[in-house]
Amino acid sequence: MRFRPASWRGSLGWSATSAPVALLLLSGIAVGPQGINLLSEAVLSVLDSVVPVALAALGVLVGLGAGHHRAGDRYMFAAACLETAATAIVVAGGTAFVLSATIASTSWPVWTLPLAAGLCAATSLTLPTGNPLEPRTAAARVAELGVLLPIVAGGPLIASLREGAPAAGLILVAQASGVTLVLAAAGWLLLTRASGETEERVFAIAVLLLVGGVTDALSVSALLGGLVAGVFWRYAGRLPREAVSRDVLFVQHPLLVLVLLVAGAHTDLLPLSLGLGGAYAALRVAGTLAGGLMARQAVGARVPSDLGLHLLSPGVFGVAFALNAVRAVGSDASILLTMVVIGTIGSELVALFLPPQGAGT
Amino acid sequence: MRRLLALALAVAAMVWVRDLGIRATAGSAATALALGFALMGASVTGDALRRFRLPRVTGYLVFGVIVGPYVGNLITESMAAQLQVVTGIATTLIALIAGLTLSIERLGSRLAAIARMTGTTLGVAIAGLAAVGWMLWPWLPIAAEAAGFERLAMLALLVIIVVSFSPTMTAAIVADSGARGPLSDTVLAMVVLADLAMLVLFSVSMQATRVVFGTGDGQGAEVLARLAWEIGGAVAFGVIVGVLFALYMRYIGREITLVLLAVCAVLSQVGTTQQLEPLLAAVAAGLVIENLAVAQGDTLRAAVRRGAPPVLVVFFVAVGTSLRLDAVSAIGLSAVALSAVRLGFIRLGVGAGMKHSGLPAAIGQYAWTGLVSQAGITLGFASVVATEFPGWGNQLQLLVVASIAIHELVGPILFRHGLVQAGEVDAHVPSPLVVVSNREPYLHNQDEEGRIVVKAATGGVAVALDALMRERGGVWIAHGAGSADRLVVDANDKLRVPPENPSYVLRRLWIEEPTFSAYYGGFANEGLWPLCHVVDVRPKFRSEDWAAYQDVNARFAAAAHAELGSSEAPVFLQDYHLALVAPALRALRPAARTALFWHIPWPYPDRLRICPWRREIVAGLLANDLIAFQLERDRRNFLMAAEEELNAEVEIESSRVRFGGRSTTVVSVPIGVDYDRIQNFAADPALADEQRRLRDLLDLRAGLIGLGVDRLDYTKGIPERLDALDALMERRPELRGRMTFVQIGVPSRSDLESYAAMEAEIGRRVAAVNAKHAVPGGAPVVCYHTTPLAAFSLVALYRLAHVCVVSSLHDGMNLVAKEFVAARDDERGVLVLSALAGAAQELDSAVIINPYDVEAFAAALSRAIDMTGDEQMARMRAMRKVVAGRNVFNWASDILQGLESLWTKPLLYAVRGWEETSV
Repeated sequence: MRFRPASWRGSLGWSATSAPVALLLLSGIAVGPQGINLLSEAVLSVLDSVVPVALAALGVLVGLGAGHHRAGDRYMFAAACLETAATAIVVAGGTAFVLSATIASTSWPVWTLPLAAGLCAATSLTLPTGNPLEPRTAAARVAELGVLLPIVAGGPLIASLREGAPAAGLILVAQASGVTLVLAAAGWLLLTRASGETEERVFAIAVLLLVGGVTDALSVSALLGGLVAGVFWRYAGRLPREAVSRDVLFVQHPLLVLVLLVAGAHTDLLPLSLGLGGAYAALRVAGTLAGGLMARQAVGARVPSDLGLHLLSPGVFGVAFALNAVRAVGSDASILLTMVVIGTIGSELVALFLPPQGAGT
Repeated sequence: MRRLLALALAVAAMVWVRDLGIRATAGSAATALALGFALMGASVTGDALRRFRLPRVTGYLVFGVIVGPYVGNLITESMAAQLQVVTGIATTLIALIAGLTLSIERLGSRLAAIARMTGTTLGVAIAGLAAVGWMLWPWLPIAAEAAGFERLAMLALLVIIVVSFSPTMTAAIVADSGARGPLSDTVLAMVVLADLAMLVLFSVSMQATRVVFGTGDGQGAEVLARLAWEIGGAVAFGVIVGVLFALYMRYIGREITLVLLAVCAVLSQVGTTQQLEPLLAAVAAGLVIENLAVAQGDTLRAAVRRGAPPVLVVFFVAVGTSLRLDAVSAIGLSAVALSAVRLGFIRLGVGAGMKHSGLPAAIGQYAWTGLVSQAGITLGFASVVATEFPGWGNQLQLLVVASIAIHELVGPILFRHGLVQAGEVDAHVPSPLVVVSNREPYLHNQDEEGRIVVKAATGGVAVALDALMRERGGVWIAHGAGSADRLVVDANDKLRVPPENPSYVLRRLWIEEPTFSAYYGGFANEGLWPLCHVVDVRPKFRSEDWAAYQDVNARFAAAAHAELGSSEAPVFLQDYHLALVAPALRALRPAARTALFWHIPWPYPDRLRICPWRREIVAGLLANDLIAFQLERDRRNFLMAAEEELNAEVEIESSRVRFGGRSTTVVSVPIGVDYDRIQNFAADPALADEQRRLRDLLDLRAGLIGLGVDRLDYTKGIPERLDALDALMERRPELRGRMTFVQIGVPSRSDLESYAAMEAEIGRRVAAVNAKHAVPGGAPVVCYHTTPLAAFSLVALYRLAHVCVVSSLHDGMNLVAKEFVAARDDERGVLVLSALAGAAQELDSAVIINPYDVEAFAAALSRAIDMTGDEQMARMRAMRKVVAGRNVFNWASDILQGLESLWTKPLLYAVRGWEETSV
């Protein structure tokens, strides 16, 4: 195993598949209440109200990019589904096993924490690419498409946790999606009649706040809400799509920094959490590598042979999903967040020492 | 209507969410929801009220009241409390904007006079209100029983708060009404200076009040030290923040809008926690940036335009939600009385100030109208008092809020009235203009019988500039090219035009041969034209042409200098023939105000390097104050050229270039057509007769008509069009004899070799296509007509065509595409448009083609021919909206307004961006 300095530089840059995720999470822990307390509980309570908007904005970016079909996307999507499912199953199964051995009982239904951990682990995306025409590797495309399944599955899961029953959760998700679509339609009406760029910006920000706010008020997944709105705008017309996309892209880096710092600051550094985080990282690495191999078997040379290595870096969406769960469910989900934050840092470190050999096809 | 529907949807969503039950787990329940709803709803309401000539800010407040917890309860009490989070940032931002509006350099010698006027006005208003307040204290609904020092302290705070003004509102009204002149300048400077003084007085009064009420620690020297810290520390802190922020903008310059908002949050938080007056610090920061870092000031203003609107809208909504109508109505009478007394003393103070300051009387007569409005800073003061002294502080806040509501409603109306009376709004005495162009708007020629006939230029640009000159008056300088031009001018080579209603002067410049051929045919048309168009024609650069180009440009500049005389009229330079007029004019007249519109594309840097004199051209253009291009792409290419060729300092965000100690703004303003005139032609009952005449003239027997209208130029892609027609006929032989393509091709620049060769080539190709696809007895495939048609005939032809084809290989805009769309008020017809024409950037509902891909071009023609009526209608409707919304008159006035606004920039520019659209 050869350490390559370039990986360090890559891990500090911002792209679809890389960002200084571990560094920002560690910074969050350092400046949070368990560190120097710069992000005190009081400050965090203010920042917490921005988190759903940041998560919704990430969802919107995914939704806006969802309709851009590229050559070979069927295969990429199949590969993404296989890889995602494999990782989720390995992590969920492993977590269930570890939990049964370490925790006697939780306040949650026993299946939910492993499942949520599996979904968090199944994503490898940092940022959806703003420009659909921007060239990207097959691995990056798999990462982009791979985020859809966890977001869609995560919505009902969070709602179920909140409602205590899957059926009620599904109803809540449907209702929240309805409200989101109404707001997205209102945004579309306004954006198509905006008198200038500044007004477009005001409307775009307003509608993002509303989408994030609705999900926050109803305690459902902001990522899913953003995805629903993003897909609506994707197909509603060019003007709203471009206006929203421009404004979200304008704030994407600060939002990511915010999400990661807040997630880090919310982390409880207990021995149990650290242990669970370590297990999560190990399981995620195993699941991703296995998923990558399966995807390669299924779709052949369309994806690189070391696809799993390309997807080892966990990106931001897993942390975002865990933060979403905390925001929606409350402190009950903090164990999930801690596990994912620690696991993400661990996975980043592993990714740093196991870089992919090629750039993909 | 759409906006109201959107608002209804947002309200429905809010009600739905409320019915579902807000379940957020954190304490900040539904903050984002409240913020988003406030932003959207207030923007729509503000816009609706603006249609009734009421300020948008009033709309925001009204929306806040209606949806707030005390009326509609869509924004509940807890949500309203969350909105207050924004208040601290917003008031700091407002103070920073106020600081940014005070340019000491611009106000110059008037600053001392304005300061005297401000001081006197404040002195009179404060003294008067204090005296009246002391006497009427028992009747004021604050703390009737207070006496002695307590009453004095409360009164001091009340008076300072009540006297304070609103720089943001005042600037917003100036921008909103488009006012320009000494009154608006003076009032804006006054409110900023006054609020600076009020901030200091407020700090002093707060310290004194803390001592009186025993809420502050220490005594005597300690209190003074704390006061010095609060004021001096705030100023020092503000200066440091201003300098740091300027450095950040200069050396990092990323995400300035977000950093700006973060800076406001820091100023607010640090100010509050460290007992520094945050508003004073923010004003100081703004002043530093505006006056010490001019280059960064422009960048920051751009960031303010981007970031301020949402924050300010939410702020005003938050204020609205906090208004308890019941309490306001109970306190209403006192508020009305307080407002009346305030108004009286302000008027008195302005009168006294006039005597001391020596400012013109016209200012004194109406200056008081601009001092009525109150908003952010006043509310900020009141909220600080209420927070620190609950009880009487809350009562004081209620009284202030009620009086602000009155000032909010009355102030903008009064100030606008004052500006109108002072002649600074909609002044119907437009300043004269100097236009410089190669081509003249009116040509005088002699016909065969020796009679002098005048012919007006028919091009869209010439018509628009002519209309502008008719309205504004001034001088148009152009090359006299008509055969009888010399016969009709006076001794100074001038005549008044238009002939039917002389309203401006046409000054003719005589350019002799061979200089004219070298300047126009040589450098401009054999050099610059192919340089700027990406086609397979090599630009030819000859040093003698360059010398002629320089010479002629200098002559145009000398003529402009002579015509300007002592006037400060703006100079409008037309097109690529005159790239060097501005530097030559500036050498004669450094303060000249010039704008140049470059109609053709601007090449990318690699291609520009073909030109041996590219640096001179770019530097020459940068001697203008404003350069306008058709497209964003051209603007960006020019900015790159300025940076690469001259190492000029380019500010991307504000699109300004600093070079040679000057600053030039570079914009893109796409040109349009005279939409109304074309509409009138299209509706003319004589159109049907003209169409019949054209059918006979052009032998149009076919049921299906295609159309191309071009000046014969190698950039227009006419051979490619003929190739595509050939391929279409191959592909669909059933069209032979049933379809005729009319190609209007007016020869131009035929004396140039490249043009003559292309004309011959087109003639050959037309003959070949007709010979290949002719059907005995059927209509010809191509009807080639080389005589120019009048505008009315062109509209008739546009209305006959089923398909109009624009296949430019590279084109700045191409107005034929827009004219065709403007003529089709029947919403029929298909526009097939080259992606390489500038018009394709706007008319994306056309059938877009690549003229180099002949097969795909032919397929697009086939698709256009088969297009259903519904699809034609949908596409044409979308394109007509675009064309109607940007006619040639908008284009001309946009450029001139852009040029003129550069001189009123510091005050208007700071707020216009957000005022124009939402605040």
